[in-house]
Amino acid sequence: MKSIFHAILVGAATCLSGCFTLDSADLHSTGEEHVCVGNRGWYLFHVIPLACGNASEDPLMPWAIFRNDVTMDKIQKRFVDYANFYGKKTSDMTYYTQESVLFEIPGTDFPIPIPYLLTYREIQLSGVIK
Amino acid sequence: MKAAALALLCALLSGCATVTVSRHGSTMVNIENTGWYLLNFIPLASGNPAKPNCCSTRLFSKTVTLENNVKMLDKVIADEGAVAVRDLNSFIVDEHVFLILLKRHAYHTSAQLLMSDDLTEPKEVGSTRVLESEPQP
Repeated sequence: MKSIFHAILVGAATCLSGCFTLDSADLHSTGEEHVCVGNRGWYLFHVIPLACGNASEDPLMPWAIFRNDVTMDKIQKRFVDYANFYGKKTSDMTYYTQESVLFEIPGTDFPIPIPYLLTYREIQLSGVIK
Repeated sequence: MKAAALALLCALLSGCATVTVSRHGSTMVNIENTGWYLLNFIPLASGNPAKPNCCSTRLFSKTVTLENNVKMLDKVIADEGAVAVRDLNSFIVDEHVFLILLKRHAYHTSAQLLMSDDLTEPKEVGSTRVLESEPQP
């Protein structure tokens, strides 16, 4: 029973630790391509990176441990590299960022009343290449 | 009582694809598709991008994608007779219930549609004023 509980905790931590995504779709009406790049991660004391999605181009693992990949620089670099790979120009770039500094167990409404203990950060970049 | 609980559960777990068009001043489109996932990955129910605004749900298929939102946008562009889009923007919102037991995944996309008139005639309302550049020393 204890091992099942541990397996559930590890599975949940793995799923919630962070995820780098790069979605793209063609807009046939205008001949443009819409791209959305995002990364999420967890921090200790708001500064020390614990786990996040791996923003490397050829990642060995989908997660990066103790490395901060949830930055505008790394996300925008992946976006621009993607556009350069297809020889296209970027436009309409918009950032969407979200932070949670009061840690709460996902799925519950009971935050630990100590801010900046364990924080969550998410950055998404939306843009168009043509 | 059981039927009511089941109906409520179905309503809670159903996905929804919504397309909203606002035509005040300029034509803005907002597209939202949501779905529910079991254990973070298994799709339970999500909105039907083929029938937005119809309370139509697709079961056990992953329809909450950027590709489907852009397909819906393509259809709106054709329906409205637009010739171009501006400020195309998308983002994801995830909400978890009981750790990873259930996840609500939502993909939002918005854009401004440009008609042929917008590209030829400058509009007075909402027009952009270009700031004069500072004189060079």
